[in-house]
Amino acid sequence: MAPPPPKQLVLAASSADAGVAAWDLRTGAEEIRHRPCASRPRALASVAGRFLAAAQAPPSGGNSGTVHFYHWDKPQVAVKSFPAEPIRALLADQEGSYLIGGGSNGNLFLWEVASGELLHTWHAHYRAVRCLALYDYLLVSGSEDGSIKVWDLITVLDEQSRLEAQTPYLYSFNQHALPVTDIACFLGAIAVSSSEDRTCKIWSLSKGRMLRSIQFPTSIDSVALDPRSHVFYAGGRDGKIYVTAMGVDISSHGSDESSILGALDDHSKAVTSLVSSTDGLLLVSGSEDGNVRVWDTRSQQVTRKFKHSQGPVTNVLIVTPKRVNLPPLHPLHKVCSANGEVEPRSVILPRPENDVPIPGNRTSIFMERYLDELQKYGGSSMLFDSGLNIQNGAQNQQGEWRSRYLELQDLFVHEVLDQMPSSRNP
Amino acid sequence: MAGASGGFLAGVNDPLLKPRLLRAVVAERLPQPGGAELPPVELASVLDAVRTHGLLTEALPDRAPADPKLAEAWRAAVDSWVERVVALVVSDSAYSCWLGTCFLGVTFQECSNERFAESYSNWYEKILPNLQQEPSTLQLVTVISCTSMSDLFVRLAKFSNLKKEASSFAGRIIESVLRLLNENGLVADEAIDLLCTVIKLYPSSVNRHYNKVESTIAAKVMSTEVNVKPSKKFARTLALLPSVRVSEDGCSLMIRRILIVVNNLLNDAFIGLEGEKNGHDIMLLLVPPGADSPPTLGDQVRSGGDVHVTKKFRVYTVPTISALMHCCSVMLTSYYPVQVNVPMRALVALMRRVLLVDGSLHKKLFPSTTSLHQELICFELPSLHSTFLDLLNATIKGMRSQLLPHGASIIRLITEYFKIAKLPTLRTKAYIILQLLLTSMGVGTSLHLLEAAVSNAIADLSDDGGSDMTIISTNPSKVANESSSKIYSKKRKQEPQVQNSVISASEKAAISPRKRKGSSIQIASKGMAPETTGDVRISTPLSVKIAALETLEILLNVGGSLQTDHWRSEVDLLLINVARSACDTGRSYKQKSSTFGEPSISDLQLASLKALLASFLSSPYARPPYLAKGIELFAKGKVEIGTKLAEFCSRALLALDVLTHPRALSLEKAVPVGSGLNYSAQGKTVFGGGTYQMSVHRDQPQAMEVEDMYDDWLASTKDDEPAEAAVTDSGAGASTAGTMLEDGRQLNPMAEDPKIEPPRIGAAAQDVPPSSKSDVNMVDAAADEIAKPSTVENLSSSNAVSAPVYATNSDSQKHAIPSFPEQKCTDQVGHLENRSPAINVPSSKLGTSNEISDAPVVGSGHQAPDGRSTSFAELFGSESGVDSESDDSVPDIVDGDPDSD
Repeated sequence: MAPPPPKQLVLAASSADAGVAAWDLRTGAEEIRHRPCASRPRALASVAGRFLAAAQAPPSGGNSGTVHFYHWDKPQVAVKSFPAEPIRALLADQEGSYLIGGGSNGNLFLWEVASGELLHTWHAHYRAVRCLALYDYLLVSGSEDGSIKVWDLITVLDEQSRLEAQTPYLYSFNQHALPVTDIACFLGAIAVSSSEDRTCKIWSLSKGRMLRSIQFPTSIDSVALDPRSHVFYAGGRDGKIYVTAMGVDISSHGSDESSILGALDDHSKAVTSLVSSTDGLLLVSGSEDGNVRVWDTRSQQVTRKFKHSQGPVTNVLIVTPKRVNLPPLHPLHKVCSANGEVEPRSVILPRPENDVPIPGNRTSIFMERYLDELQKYGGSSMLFDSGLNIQNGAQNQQGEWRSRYLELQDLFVHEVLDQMPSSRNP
Repeated sequence: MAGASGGFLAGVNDPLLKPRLLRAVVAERLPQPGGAELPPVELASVLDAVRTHGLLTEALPDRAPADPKLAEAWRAAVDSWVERVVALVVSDSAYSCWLGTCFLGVTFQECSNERFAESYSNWYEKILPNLQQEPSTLQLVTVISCTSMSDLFVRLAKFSNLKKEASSFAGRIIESVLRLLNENGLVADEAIDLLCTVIKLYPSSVNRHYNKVESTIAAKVMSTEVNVKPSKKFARTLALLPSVRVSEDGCSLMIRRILIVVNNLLNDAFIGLEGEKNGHDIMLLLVPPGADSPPTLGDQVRSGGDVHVTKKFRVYTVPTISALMHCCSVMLTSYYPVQVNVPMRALVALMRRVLLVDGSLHKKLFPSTTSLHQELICFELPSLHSTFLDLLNATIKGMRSQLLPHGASIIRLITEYFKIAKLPTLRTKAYIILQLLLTSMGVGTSLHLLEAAVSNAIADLSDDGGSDMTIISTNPSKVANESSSKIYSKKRKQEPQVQNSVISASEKAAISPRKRKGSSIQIASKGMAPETTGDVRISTPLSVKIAALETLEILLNVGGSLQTDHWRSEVDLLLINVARSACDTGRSYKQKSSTFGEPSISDLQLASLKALLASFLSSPYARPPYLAKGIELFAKGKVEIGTKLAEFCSRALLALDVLTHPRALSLEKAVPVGSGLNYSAQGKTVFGGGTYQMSVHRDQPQAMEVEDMYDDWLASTKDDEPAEAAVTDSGAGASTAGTMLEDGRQLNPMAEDPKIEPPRIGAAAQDVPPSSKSDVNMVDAAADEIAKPSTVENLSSSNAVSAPVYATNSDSQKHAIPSFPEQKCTDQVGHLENRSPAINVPSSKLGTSNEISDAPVVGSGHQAPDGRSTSFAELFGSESGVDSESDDSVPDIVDGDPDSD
């Protein structure tokens, strides 16, 4: 049932209706299978580890898509949403505040998770959006028409900024000749995109240009970055996972072959999705052959193999489910609420209560300070000196305590003088 | 007495020591109930003994075999201690009672778990009467009772099995505590701490008294008598209240109620200073039409009505607002077990409402607005702004990614606010908000904040180039020269800010008033800087500079490679100069740290080096242009053993090691040739670490010259200084013109340097992009106009200064560049050198007059640094001024860089 926090799950979804399978990465046992779910590639997203969202492939001939939310511990769908068009690519931001969907008509949708409100929707590409990636709040979208666009969400979400901006997007890259299949972003504002045109291209999001293009022997359906960022993995349609260097030796420039360092070869069919573990030691791949494989990246061997279904695996994820007090999930709205009538619901997300710092030992601190103060004036007898002149001490850093104790002293003097003249007066 | 017997100990660590010591303390040093007063030294030593030796812990050593005798002896000793302390507590004598409660509080912290669990209820009952008594008891006793009681609860909270009892205990004191809240300052202060502890630890115990607690605290917060510090405590406690009744709405309701109260207070305050509708609009956001308005917070409070109107602001409105906003900030930044809705739109609108009030009258003057009212508000405005900046800060921290939909409006707000923020504290806070925004929302924000951050930081920092060094000198002319150049360089960047054309010519004549006038107008924050004659610090306060540096550092970290062509070279140059001058200053004289808590020059050094490191590490070039100089600074800093600076410098050197000795080739190396051209050329300019103006060179041949030039420059500093100044001119011209006069600019240093071969220059000259010419033309027209009067104003000697300037600037596209006469330049230099003593005064005058006449003007502006540096070099160059001179001219050059394509 509820996995303890350190438990890591490998999730896999298929485009055939085989549900989302969750295996424990350590034990290899299948934990749960969320049904129903039939997702196309890049349509499965873990919302900050709190719950799972999966955009469903439209039924054949249908022109309506659904998005399913699943709780970790319940196999059935928790919430169903019906966005305006079938969602091809789904992405959640790091904190799970927003869900971003790329539609099959080339529109992008930005929902607020807490309320389900559709904050903004805009036309991004001529054809379907195939993949999405986020770098901070730069959204990178790749489309079937081969274009990649980079959006600054701050601008996108603000009407005035949108009007001021020259182009709705930050950059538009058109170097890919065929549909873009996957995009991964990494530190230093680097993005790697893969395409059916048999290349992967490395982009600098800060400079807004292509840094490299790497030719592969086959169409590339998925990329995953090693967290150390020196290599990335490209899943080919030929079933191989190409290990590719991010940088390239300057001495051999021109020949891109040099950057392909090797290949992990075990899948019999196209590798549709890849994900690297946060420590970079494991790589999980999903293939059209219906299997999910876990690779040890150092030995380049398969360490685990999960059988998902007969149908092609389209999505794999590694998640660490978080057990938090999850507020009720809201379905994603179909349209934007009329000109901002409804306020976007900004929320402070529930978080495991960290221990409230409560100052202890106050009595002794109190006493120490108090006694210090007294000693400064030569002992308690000074207390009863009504003409006690409080000097400005040099200890500004104790300002707060100081003022308190000066007050205290005054009080003491008055109290003692007023109320206990007989016993206390010197 | 009894403790003295029992033979010798094994040593200081012998556990047997402890019972003996404790017995001795009880027997000899603790007074009897009703006994005489102890001197504080004695009390302090008792306290110290108990805590140092852990006399009450009854912690038997682990490894030693169980020693029943020891345990027994210790237990007995602690028993006797407790007995005595309790006897003191219940004693009639107030002093004994006070003392006993103190030591009982210490016992709560120190005693063993078993003992505490056994006796806590007994102790609780002993202290309770002191809290419950009517105010007739000695207040000191009440105070210490609150403190010990809160220690009791803190300790009790660690026993999870006693939670229920503890909770009921807590419930019993609430009423008394509420009564104590209304007592005088000190008692209320401790009582609120106790209440705070109780709410945090046992929220359920407060549930029954919720309404009473809330109204009492609200009344205190909104009363006129509580002074600032405790009222913050009250506000914090108020912020805790929603946790008493955990619900999704509790907190958000509280925030809304607070915002309503504040909004209403502001309606009163801002009459005439803002549009009529502001308050109403915010109200609509808080209470949507049709919805019931939430119960008013502190409704029974007479809203400061009894205070005289002139005092009302100061004693009631502003403190109340700031306490309530503090409460809001605390609520926004705490964690809740449930999801809490925040009325962000209203919050942002409210912040906007306050932060954009600059005290000027709104267009539609209200009949009720008097100048007195305006004056009163302006008096309090900084503290209001400060409060709301804190709120903004808390909002950004608390809302994290949820801020995104409001990101753009907050960015706009803070950008606009920078124009209002003139006081150092406010400016510092505004910078901190920039930093928060940059870190919280990442690279996307830097797109939006780039301009605000860079222009403001440059404005605040660019008076730094060498000025700190000369500040120590009280020589008025020198200072004036410095200041004029500073003002000048600032001006170019902050053209919109400049409105000082009103300053009359007579003011210009007097050097020191002019200095102040100029500086305070240029950068408003300077207005706050103490400008006594003894303290010649005329630049931006250190705290602002540090904040600006930190902002730049974060900007570089987050978006250092973003749109680099527009700003990077300028910022890089600025940072190396600031770092150099900060380090030089730190070395050349020891600054008296004026008051504690204020940043010192070493903080500035640290901040500047940190920013410098960020500039190196995020550099878009294969090798950052000023790397060599930077490494030198870090290496020097590393020697200051034991300081934070040294610690940081060694880390910085480690980080730079990767840069200087690359272990793997960077991605940029593989860039297609076309776009990568810049960078490959840059790689060759590495030697030019010291010749800052070379950073922008695009042409390889020129870059190759750098080395020569640098050497030459170093070798004969004095002679070259005028040349430097000339460089400054053209660079400045280009920047103001906003054009790409880059090649023309580069020409100057080349031409003036005798070692440079003319053919290269010619080649470079032809590189001037045609597009820039028109821009330059326009600017020149303006320049000519304005500059003429100033030339006239100057003595004949100053013509030498101004005339060449024209040549380099206005003619750059016509004749100067194509056939740049090397001869001419050297002539010029000679000219300046010969005349410089005479030039001194007029040139400084010139500088300021230009600055005053009109900032955006290019041509006239040029002359300021020119004249200044010339005279400066001549007069002081041979002494201390050499370094500062070069430092100084550098920021001016920076200005040219951003335009470098």
